[in-house]
Amino acid sequence: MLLFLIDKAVSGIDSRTFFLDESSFESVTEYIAGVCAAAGCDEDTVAHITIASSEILANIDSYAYKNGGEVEILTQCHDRRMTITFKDSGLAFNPLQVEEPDVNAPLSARPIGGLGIFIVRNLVNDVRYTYENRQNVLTIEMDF
Amino acid sequence: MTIKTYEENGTTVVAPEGKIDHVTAAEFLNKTTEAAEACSNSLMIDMAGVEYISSAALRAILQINSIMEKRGGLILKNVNNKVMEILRITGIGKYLDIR
Repeated sequence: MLLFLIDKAVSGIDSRTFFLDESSFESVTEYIAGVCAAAGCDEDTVAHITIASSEILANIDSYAYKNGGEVEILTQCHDRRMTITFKDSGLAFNPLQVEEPDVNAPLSARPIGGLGIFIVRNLVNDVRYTYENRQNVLTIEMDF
Repeated sequence: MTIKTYEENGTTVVAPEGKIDHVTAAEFLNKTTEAAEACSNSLMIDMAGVEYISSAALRAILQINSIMEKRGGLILKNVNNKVMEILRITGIGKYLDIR
């Protein structure tokens, strides 16, 4: 426990674990928005991170878990860069491998999927995915 | 989220309030589809009370747009900057009647 506290103090990373399902979904997005606002992010940055987080959590709730599951949210603010990491233990799924939609195609010719992660890529400065210790680890970063 | 439906100068208006996201998009789609199928003229979605939308909301809007293409058309009004940005990024805004 002491080592954990020292590690947290040095790294400045906060960790919070939620049971994610439809009933907790809003409280998780609001938690992330609150952390960003408290770190000093401007309103636009908070909105971008919140919408991107909403898409990521929707993916976790839809594809990683069938009936809800635990999501660990790691947050860090360093040199006006906000980093949010989402860890879940559901089915392995790399959303960054989903083919990007053609945003110039007529609506009738568009596939249904792929818009969520496309929105994430366009709202934040960096997004990356790894699969570690049987967990999906998705990280977004945003400068403000 | 709350969704009000009313008539204004012969147009059916649906006015959702809150976030239209992964959780709330289904209710938004159900209530708006109900209004779309019952209206004989154009359908207006007043977005003044909408904080932000996600891809789930876009899918719902596209489904409603598809119903209204065969009727009197779909109009979106009072779209805030956050919602407009999502419509612009995804290239969907240019196909919708936004006032």
